[in-house]
Amino acid sequence: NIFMLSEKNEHERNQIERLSKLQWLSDYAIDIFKTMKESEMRRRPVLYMSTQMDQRPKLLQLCQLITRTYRLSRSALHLAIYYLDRLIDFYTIRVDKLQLIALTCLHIAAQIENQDAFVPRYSEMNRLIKNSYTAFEYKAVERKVLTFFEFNLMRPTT
Amino acid sequence: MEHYEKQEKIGEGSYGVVYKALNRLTGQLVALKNIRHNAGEEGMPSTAIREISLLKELKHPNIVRLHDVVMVDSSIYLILEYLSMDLRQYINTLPANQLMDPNLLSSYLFQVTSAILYCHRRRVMHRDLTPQNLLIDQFGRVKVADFGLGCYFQVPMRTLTHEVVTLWYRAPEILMGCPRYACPVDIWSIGCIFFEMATRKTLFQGDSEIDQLFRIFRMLGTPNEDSWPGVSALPDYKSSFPNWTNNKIGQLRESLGSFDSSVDLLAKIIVYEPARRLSAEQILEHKYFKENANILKSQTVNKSF
Repeated sequence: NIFMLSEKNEHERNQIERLSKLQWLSDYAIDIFKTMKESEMRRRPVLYMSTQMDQRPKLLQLCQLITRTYRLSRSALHLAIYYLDRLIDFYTIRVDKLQLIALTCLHIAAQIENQDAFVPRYSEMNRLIKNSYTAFEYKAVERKVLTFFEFNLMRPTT
Repeated sequence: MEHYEKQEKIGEGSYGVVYKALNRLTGQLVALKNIRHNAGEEGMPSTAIREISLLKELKHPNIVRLHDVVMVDSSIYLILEYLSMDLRQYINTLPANQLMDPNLLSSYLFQVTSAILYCHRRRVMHRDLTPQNLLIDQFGRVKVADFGLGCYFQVPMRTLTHEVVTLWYRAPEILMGCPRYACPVDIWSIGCIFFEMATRKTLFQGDSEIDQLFRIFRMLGTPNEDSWPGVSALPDYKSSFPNWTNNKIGQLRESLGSFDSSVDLLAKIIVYEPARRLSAEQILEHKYFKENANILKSQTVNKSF
């Protein structure tokens, strides 16, 4: 058991138990870790062998900027970067379209991770990079990305 | 896509139309859920992205199976398992003043709960369990459908929206504005559905959020720090709530029929404090199911349908 309940007094113990149950840890924690591990094993590894690795820092900076601007969660950022790494591992992307890919990844990751919170629109994110792309391009790339991952979008990040 | 023959419209979801269709190659009936992709500026609706990626992860005999996702031009089709009826329709088609067969009832409850247990173990919440979203077939199987509001929760929990779950099945902590709710909201819905299957009556049939809350209070008594520690700190708690004191859950006995164990089970599910509500796992171990041992055998194929 990962939760060491203090034996000190009954009240405090109840309090901790309540807190851990409230977060739904005590009942399913072990199962959840197990299935996450499983999912991690199933995901395809990122090789970091892309010829575009030199572009990566710039793209990460862009993603970080948007994450900060719209207060997206860290997990969304991490997931987006995982998508991005997989994509540049597999494809060589035209240099002028790299930002487009990065933003699309971030948009999808935000929808998966920030379920109920605010997800920035493509048009809003587009403004931050001087309106470089059209709505049509975003939609086309979104489809491409979703098809590439075959909708297996829920992957634990390391 | 061309080998699917659309037959009839069977429903309208939050983001598209659902058709019954025939797969000409296999002769199999499927449900086609059409998502209008290019409807807005924003590409795929997030509910659709979430539903697809959740269904991709969830493979369980009591969860509707996603066979395929097909993209054609400007729309996306989800090809889902087809089931003939939902639980709401089934309850409504029963002859007046006849109740569901108790064996079938506990079988359904068992199946739904095991599907939800499977989800919770994979850190997925359904968040919209209603009789309309439980599909049934003629073999006594029941499958959970419509994960459009489903989400997967994280540790630690984040703030979540309150616009989930059809009002009648919404748990009190959501109605009270608790920002971090978790799996127990699904359990509350299961409890309401259980009652509805047993009696054909909706347990709390409110017409607004406040009416819903007051109906729950009338049944369980207005919550206070004793019955629900921490309740007064919730955003929508008012000290001016009318004070109902009696707990009437025991009086449901007549309406639930003779089984003491089903009253006991319901009383342990319909509990204010989320942490004290039974978990899906504990429901499955409840003596209600042990009393009808034959139910476990018939959980997949139930002849009495």
